Amino acid sequence: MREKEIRVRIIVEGNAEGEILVYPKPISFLGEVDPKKGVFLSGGKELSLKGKVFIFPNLRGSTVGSYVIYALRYYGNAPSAIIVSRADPILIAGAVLADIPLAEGISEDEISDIGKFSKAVLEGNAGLLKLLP
Amino acid sequence: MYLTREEEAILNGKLGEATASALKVIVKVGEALGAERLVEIPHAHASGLSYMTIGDAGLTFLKSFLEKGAKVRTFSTVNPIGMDLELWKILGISKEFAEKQSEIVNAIIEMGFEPTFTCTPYLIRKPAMGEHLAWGESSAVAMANTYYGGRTNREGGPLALMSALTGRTYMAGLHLDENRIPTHEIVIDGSIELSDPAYAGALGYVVGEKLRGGIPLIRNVRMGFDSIKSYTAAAAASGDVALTYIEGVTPDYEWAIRQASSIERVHVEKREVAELVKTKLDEDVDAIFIGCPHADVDEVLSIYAMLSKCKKLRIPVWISTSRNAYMKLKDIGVIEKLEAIGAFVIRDTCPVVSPFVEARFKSIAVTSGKGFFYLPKMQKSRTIIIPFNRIGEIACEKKK
Repeated sequence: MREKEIRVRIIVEGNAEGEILVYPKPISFLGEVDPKKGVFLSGGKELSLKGKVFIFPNLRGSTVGSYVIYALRYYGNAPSAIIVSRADPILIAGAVLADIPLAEGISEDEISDIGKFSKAVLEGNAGLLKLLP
Repeated sequence: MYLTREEEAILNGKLGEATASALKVIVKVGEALGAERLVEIPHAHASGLSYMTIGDAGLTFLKSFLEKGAKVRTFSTVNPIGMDLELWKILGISKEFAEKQSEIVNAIIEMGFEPTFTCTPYLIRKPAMGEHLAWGESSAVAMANTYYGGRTNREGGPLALMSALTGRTYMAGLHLDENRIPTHEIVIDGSIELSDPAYAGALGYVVGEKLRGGIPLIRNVRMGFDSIKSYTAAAAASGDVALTYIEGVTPDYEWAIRQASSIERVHVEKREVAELVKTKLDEDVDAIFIGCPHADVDEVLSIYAMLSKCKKLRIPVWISTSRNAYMKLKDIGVIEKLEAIGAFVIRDTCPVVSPFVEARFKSIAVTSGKGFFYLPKMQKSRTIIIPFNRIGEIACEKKK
């Protein structure tokens, strides 16, 4: 399969690459992410976040989310980048404080199509997200 | 975004690492929301400081900021925490929780926050008309905008903290005239007893549910301070309603009317509000909770007036308030009098953010639309609303 490029809007600068962890629905960092273990809790499974390019549509729920994102960095479990359809103040605050590259503008269709790819590269300067098989 | 020379210097570390990273967050969020500049604020109010809600993640965050030398740069107050700092043992709070909560409290006091622990910061410092603020508690945000004509977005915990540490927020959202134009007119069909804060809270709950967001306008209602406080808190909880124009109340109401060229009408029927409020109990409740948002001195005095006809309460009444109000009530002997008949006054905390509730109370009656929204979610308690003006009859032992 060929690689695919998606144009994104960079909010927190940085280059990153890593395996993709994708979730098709809005997530709440409070309650759905355990920063100490560095995992995203999804349907009874614990999916590691460390070093991943974490892709989901947008945040929901508590304003405490920023604290949880920060704690991921503090415990050495931060994802290498976060890519969303829409960023909100809670997510932006968390990503800036944790210094996690953050970009918005991936469409929900593109998110549901991402299963075909396994790796992602974020080119911060170019505003490009490259998806690799 | 345009930054002043001073702001550039702060970003480059002039005031230390903590201030620089706090300002960086505000700039980033502002840029993403299209802000063209920052604005200085005379009052920041930080929420999200209960160990029950922010846990170790939040504590870690606060401590690391403190290590980097964080200090507030404007008048800064804080929201309720997870326990009464004096009475936590009596509330059955665990030692471990109390220790973690105290660490959070020590960190924020060391940063220079006023130890207010209340969701009613407008009673500590009154916002002026048109003043720019950065507040994090949704009910306080709605009061600042609606009752005082101040200007604040709902910042959430960390962002309000960053504003406290820099004395600034970003010029976007409700700071700008164009985002303060009413979108919906609430038309109430039938007459509702809105002078009772419980009914006003139920109205807020219904308006929040119907609108989700938006800026409602209400004409021709009679609501006192306590009712407006209850209404705004509920509408901000069940919906994302941070500003309501109330005729005769909101300082920039006339301006708002002139701006609103097209306004959608939303009808609220009397029945929708009345059915949320139970005038008598079908079955008993474990407790009655009052003080969401925190009851002020006058409210506690009227509660006492209603309860004092009773020798011993049949249902315990819990009143949450600020330590500021608590001290005034203690000075005039009301705390002891309430305790003597079986009512408890707690400060610094509230039933929504304290772990003592879930352990003890499975069913609760409240006079608050906000409490009605959050208690079943946060504490898994069965919750009903009762009229404020009937708590005397409902809580009191039947006279034989």
